[in-house]
Amino acid sequence: MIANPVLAISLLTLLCLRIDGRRWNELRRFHAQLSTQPAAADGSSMVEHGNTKVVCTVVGPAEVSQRSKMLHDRASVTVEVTFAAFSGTDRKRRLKSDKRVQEMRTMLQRTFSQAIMTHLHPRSEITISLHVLSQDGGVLAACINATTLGLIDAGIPMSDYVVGMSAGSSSATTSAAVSFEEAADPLLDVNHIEEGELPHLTVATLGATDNITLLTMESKVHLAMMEGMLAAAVDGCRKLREMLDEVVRAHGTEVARNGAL
Amino acid sequence: MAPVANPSAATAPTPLSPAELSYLHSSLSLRPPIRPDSRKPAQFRPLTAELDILPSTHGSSRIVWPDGGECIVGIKAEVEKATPNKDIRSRVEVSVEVAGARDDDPLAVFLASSVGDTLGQKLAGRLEIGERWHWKLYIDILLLTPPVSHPATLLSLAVHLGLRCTNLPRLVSAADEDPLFDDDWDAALPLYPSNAAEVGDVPAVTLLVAAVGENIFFDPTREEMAVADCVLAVSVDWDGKIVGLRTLESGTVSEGGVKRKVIKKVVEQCVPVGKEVFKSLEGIIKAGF
Amino acid sequence: MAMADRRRINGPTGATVPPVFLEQTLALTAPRRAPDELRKIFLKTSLTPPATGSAFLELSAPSTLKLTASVYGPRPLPPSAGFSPHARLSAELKFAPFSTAGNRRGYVRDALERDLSTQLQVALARSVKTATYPKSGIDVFVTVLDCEGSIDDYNTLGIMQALAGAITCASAAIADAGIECVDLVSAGIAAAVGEQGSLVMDPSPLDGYDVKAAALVGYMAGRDEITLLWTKGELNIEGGDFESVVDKAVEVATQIRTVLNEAVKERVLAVGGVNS
Repeated sequence: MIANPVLAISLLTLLCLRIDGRRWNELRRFHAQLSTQPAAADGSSMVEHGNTKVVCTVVGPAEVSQRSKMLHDRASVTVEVTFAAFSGTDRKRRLKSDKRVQEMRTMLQRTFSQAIMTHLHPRSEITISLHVLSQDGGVLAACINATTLGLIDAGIPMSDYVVGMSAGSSSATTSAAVSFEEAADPLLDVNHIEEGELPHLTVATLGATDNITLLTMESKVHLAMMEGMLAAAVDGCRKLREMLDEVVRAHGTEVARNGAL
Repeated sequence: MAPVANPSAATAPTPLSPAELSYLHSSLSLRPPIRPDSRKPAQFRPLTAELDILPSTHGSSRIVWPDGGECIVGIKAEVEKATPNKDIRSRVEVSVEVAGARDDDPLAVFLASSVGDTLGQKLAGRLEIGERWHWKLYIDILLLTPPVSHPATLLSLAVHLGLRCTNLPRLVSAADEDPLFDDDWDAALPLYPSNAAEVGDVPAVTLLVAAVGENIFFDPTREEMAVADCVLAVSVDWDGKIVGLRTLESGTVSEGGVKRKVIKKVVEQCVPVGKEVFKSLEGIIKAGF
Repeated sequence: MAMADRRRINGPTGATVPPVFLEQTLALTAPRRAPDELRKIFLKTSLTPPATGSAFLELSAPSTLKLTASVYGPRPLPPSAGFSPHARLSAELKFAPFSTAGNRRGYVRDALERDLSTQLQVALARSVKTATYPKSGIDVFVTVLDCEGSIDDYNTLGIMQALAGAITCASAAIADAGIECVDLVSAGIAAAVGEQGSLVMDPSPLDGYDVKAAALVGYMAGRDEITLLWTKGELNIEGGDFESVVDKAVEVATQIRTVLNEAVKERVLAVGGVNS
């Protein structure tokens, strides 16, 4: 431990480490669990990316709750996102009508409507509810991963894993003396502090194919840096897919051992 | 003009037919009674509890009930300037969010006010910083899955555990200065010291009790509540004192209220059962650290 | 007249000067009641013509509690409510915006009103023979026109008094509506006050007691049964504190029941007189 925080930060810069001591391409501690609420929902999961924690429950495919949601040739996907009041640094109640929450809902809904084989369950509804318990950057990515695991737990057919990952770029602060390509320094899996300082994006890919199903960025960034961030994020997705697969397989083995299969 | 029919999760009618309800009512009125899940009258359902699960809160807990009820409590504290003539109970703010229900759902309102009543002045007295400042405690309760049975007990146990593992930063300034706190989280002081249980000063818990005829059932399921003559939410503290009691909506199998002696019996039984509950909570807290 | 202001409620066309009242010379603080003395109650039924049944309740000065209850039904449940083999009783308690001292209350139902509405419903539901009216709804509306002091979450007695009045008044209104009941419900409050915890019957927030614990009961005197029990504050069980407070509250409710009986009887006699 270094007592002096200023010294600690300059040491980190010297060693090219990030504020939490990671290298540019290192993920935070990833932990995931399936079937956290076996009795209450058809599928449930919990995902932690470092200090970001998201719980997901999936109900369905079930009869539609409102007739307007009924689609005659496929299932409709409903997503609900709630932020716990205690999830951020300061206590803040976020209503469901909050614009950012609504936007996140729409993004998730669109992504998963494509990934789920909805044509197999016509006239039914799949309800995904996400609860963000703790936010420390990469909330959208964590939500995507939690939803994927929840859907797998519920046994809903999907074409492949949808894996989400965030990436940032550290070169925004460096001078423009060097060309952007050289300075571009992508950072994988940004945390809360990096999210506040640096341009960042979130990517979701469809399994092993590297096909991007979701891409969102809200910061101003040079096009040349974009490529590096994207490559880092997609790389991270690929790595994370293996980790998710491991979790699912371990859970499957466990279930099989308990004689459920 | 008519009040909006708002069937929240807990008040939604059971799918049982009148005949089935009547059968359940008579089997619960037998001596000794027969509960559908063959529990003893004072037996609780098993539960899973976790402490200190969220890094961004001052204290947190999670309790899962086997019927699917899951409750997460996050406690956050803020420093607030003391305003004279304000009731000290306003230092604790409880809010309940039931997943899938609206914010003004009657269940959520009931739960929030009953938890607030239970904690009362005793907790508020702990939040003193100096003369001019005090802590404001936000207790946010998240009911993740719409509960099958009434979640009052689940919630109160989760709040108890959450408060017991709450730590507040250590004050380094003098009592009359503007408060300054130690940055080191390891030096934070627990809201309830580890010997709080020995002194007997711990948050009260709420027990749900249903009465059918002369029989009394703790931790009733939704079906049992639907046939009960009366359902009481009794808050007991460590010393076996009643700190609050409320009547909940009960079944429609029979009409009329309950006799005073039944209520007396309920309250009397709450004392030993409450002691047992506190003992097992102590076990959870010991195991958690 | 073409430019009439449609956004606000307009006053009547014939304007008058607002009345000016003389200063109240009578001291508002009446001599303190004895601990076992109840306040006088004015209770009258059938004052809201469009409702099936209604009642108005007022307490004697210095208390300012005034409330009205109206009952609609039994009427058919809306098709969206689904089948119900019993009548569904719903209750709504609302504080009028001008009911509290100090701040004006909003029109939107707040958490306290929801909480009291639920308790009112619990107190009344089991007194009505709901099995007699399948597929129907009985709606009870109580409006508190004036309460004692300010209403917030910490004025325990003020809230309890409002609820107790609402229960008694609503029960009279239900009887007035001619809905079959097993018994009438009257509500009483008792409190343990001071260091000694001495018992006070029907305590008012205006009495200035230091309340240690309070209990409210909804009581059916004819059957000696309790429909609602709400206690706040610490009460010992082994010492018998709990039992004595509840018994005192029941005693209050029993006394209030006589007023309730009279009010309901008045109506019955009036109807009987017309018919004969």
